[in-house]
Amino acid sequence: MINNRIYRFFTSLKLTVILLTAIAVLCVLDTLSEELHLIHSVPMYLLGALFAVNLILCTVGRLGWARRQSKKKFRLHVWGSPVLHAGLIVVMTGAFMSWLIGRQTYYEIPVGETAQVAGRSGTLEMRIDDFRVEYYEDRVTPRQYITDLTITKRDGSSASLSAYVNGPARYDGVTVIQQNYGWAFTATLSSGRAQRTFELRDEEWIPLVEDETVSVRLGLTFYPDYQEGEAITEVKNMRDDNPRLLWVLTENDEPVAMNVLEKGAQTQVTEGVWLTFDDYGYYTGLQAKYDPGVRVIFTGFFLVLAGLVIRYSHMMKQEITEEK
Amino acid sequence: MVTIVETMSYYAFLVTIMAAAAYVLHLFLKRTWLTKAGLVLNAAGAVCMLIAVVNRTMQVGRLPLNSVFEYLIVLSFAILCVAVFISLRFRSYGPVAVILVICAVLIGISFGKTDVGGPLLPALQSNWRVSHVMTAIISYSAFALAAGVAVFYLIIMPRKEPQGGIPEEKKNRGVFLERMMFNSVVVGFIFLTLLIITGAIWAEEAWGSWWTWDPKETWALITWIIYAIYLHLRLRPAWRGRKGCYLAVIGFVAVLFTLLGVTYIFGGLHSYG
Repeated sequence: MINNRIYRFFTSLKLTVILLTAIAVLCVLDTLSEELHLIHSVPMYLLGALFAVNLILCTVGRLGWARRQSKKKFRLHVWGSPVLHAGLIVVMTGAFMSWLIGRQTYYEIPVGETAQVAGRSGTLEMRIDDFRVEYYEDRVTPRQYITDLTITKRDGSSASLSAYVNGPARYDGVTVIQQNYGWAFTATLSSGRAQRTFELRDEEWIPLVEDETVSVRLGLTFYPDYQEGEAITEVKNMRDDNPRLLWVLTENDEPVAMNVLEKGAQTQVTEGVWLTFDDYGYYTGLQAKYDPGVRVIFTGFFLVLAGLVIRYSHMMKQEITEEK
Repeated sequence: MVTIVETMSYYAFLVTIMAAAAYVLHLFLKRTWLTKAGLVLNAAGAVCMLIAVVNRTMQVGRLPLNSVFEYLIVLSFAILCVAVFISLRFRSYGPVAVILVICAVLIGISFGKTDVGGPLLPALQSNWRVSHVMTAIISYSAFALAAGVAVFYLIIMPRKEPQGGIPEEKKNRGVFLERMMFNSVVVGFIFLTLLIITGAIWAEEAWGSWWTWDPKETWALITWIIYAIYLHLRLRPAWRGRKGCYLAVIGFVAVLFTLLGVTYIFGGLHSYG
């Protein structure tokens, strides 16, 4: 008796509508407020769990109903609703699988360097062979960002692939997506016999003296197309038409000296400290993803769509017939 | 310099307003020539928008489905075509008047969003782009029709049943309108689902994540939920009337907010102009 009441509560249309409304309200509040992060909150997870229970029980009930309706003669339209709701369960299962076993890592790798990525057969080695930007005729608007890479399995087998925006590279269950790029550069600081080389990205700060009373730092920014005499903070062009390294020396955050360096040049930034701009080149920003849940999710999408078409094409036909 | 697209949009705006006015006058004056005039003006608006769309296509060398401006001109063209179809097929001029007003507002909004239309950014170079945006246009046009029918239903059907009941003819008209609204919502809902699915597949290819809770995605989900609630509640006879109409209107407000509000208030991954 109690079980029956609980079952009826969890399969009721009222509960479905209340849960859907509550989920929609939390989504609205989340987007409208910068402080409230309701989508990834305990109330949303609870609503999601309740909705999953509601959906599973309803689907089981509908599958039983459809089977009874099709006992004597197969009727396609009665399967629309169960297939649609089962599709939603498959989507949720896929999303759960992604959360549980999916792995996704963002890498920023200079050309010529390697990174370890997770694949179906274990850890793989990903080497960046080249990165290039293709431009439209105006030579300013980028047409495509392309990374050439080689992925090697543990057994030594490998594949050379290209990843570009909207064209991910796929190998051994790993999907490599082109997401970002920038400039990597190397600079050397020398003081007397001591020498240290830094591998840096775009814009970085190196502390030279840090104690309680004084903070001396060296800021290094790479400009691929430095414009003489114009606002130095403005990047005019991402092509390396006039590459320069801009250095700024600050003492307690106040700039005390600054200048630009050509590749291979050396300058004294403060007494006894010399800076050399050694080299520069692209780094590529890639996302490597191993996620078996995605295929499950897309299968669920197909079921949802198929269920919708089966259910509502029949319903619409019925409405039109009644109208006539 | 005023472009052909802007000129044609301006003409379409004017004739659409005039078509809506002709249909509204017909409701009061019951003159057949007003419906004919409305239909001709409506069709003229569709032709103007077609010229705008074709001109834009030739100008940018691809289908104009990139920026909000391009989307608005194609959507307006689609809605004007739907209005012509409803007038010819069902001779239901009241709902058409409402969707023509909605369409005129959309064309009006597009005036402030004109852009020169540059080449495709790498993120937009995908075969999924056309299917994603086309499903949006079909879905939103269907929801616009549903909203137009809903508003007209709310205007003509009494809030409470009068003493002596609603005349049979009016009752039948109400049933007809409610069914038209339901069928429009169903078409819109199927294509909205397809819109979300194509978007998810594209996002997986381009960003490596099929769902990121980007404001546009979140609002597409909110819209989907509102119409899902409507389709569930309509199973109950009590919701096959004014209550259902309110939901159809709320759903369309969510559609407009997803299309325009989200783009200009929140930005995010879908901000392409």
